[in-house]
Amino acid sequence: MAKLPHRFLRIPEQNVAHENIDGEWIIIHFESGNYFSLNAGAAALWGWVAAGVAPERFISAFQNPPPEAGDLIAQFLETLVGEGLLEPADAPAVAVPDPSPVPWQAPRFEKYNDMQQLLQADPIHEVDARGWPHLQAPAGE
Amino acid sequence: MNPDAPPPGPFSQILTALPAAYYREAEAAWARAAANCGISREIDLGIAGLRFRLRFAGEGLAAQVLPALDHLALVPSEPPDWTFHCWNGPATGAPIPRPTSEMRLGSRNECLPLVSDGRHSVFYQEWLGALGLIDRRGTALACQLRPGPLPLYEEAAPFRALFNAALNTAGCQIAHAAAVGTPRGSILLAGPPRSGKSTLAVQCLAAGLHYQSDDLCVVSAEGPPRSWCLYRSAKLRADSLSLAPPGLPLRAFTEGGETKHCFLADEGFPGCLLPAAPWKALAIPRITGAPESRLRPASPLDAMRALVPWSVSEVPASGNAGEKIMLRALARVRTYHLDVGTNPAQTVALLKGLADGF
Repeated sequence: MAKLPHRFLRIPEQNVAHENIDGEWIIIHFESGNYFSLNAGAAALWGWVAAGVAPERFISAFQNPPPEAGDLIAQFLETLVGEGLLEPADAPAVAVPDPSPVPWQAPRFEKYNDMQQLLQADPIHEVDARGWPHLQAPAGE
Repeated sequence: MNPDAPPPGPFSQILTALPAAYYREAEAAWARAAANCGISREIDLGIAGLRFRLRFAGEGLAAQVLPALDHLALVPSEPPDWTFHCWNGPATGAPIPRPTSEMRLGSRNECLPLVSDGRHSVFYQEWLGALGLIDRRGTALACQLRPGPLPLYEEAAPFRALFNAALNTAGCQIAHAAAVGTPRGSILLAGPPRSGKSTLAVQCLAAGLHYQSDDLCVVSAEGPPRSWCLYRSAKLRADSLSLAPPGLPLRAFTEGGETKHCFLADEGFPGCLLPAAPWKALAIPRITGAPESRLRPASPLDAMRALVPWSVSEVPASGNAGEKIMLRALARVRTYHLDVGTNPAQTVALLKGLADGF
């Protein structure tokens, strides 16, 4: 099993908006303008990180994880760190109860960048003969 | 703070002092405007449970921006939560120097980071000729940088950046959405600009639904989601002018190459405004041309795409706080695609059913 990359992780709240809507986590990364949706396995991991559960407890919180579960979880968490969605953290100040077990599913996310120009909150408004205001088209369009 | 970190040096101290220093500089310009021209108008407005006191120096600016806002007027009594000082720099002889290119480096969502920190923010809308500064302890400065009348877009929805920054501190956000409903509930109509939200909102208005916005309304996710009417302005496209009552004063402007006609909603439809309501649902309209209108459930991702990115891009000062507020609210309202057919009465009935239902 791959070593889990960090003893504790946290969500950098200043850069990430995230919400569980009807069981589906939607995550927006403010800096990049990317947004993400998570499958059930990833959603479980995200919820545990948000609750302050230590990564070393993740595997045992899945029901019937396969032998490669540890590797998959470690890779997934490292990917989230790379995307800026998680960052290493100190131990939470409050002890966190064991998470409720959930069925195993290899964690995956879908990453979207189709709204990047808007979500990066860097719109360039222009006023020209078409009247005003409208967003300048991104380069290449 | 890292205990091993060295104390800030002179350069760091200068940088961290910039936001407060720039705010003081702008405050001095406001004081000059008030001394030169006097306070021409003072009005208290109630928005989402907060009391805003708007003070105007000099003539002209108040008369341009208050028609869109004066439905929110409160009797001035208790101290306000926020005081906005508003003036036209050139007209009052008290301009603020335009932000330098250095100050504009890294500008995002029209916020200038070099002169902004957790307490102060500066919003520079160059295209609009507007500079807004906020001190989150309860004051703001709104300076028009150009002489003469405001663009109609600003008249119809003034001080968006400052209102939004102030509302964010109370868990509210200005959303880019039309909003209609009944006293039992509101429905937000969300989607990209020019997706038909404004026309649909005015159709609802003409059919007797109450009105909160055709473009920008206030939403909150603290407790059960709510929405508020912020601006009472509304717009009609040329091909929808038949919806306007005869004799209604209309003012034309161009948006995206298209001529639109702006009016005050309750001038055309007295009693139509819905100041506040429980926010029941979000609908994403799409004009189909089919005879029937229908509602279909929208996924959380679709709802997010329809509301959040457009609000962030259209409402200055939205940022990460605004995204959080909107996502939290979306988790608690029902979300639908609205296929808009050719029978407006049926579309309005669907929306009324949503507003009155569940």
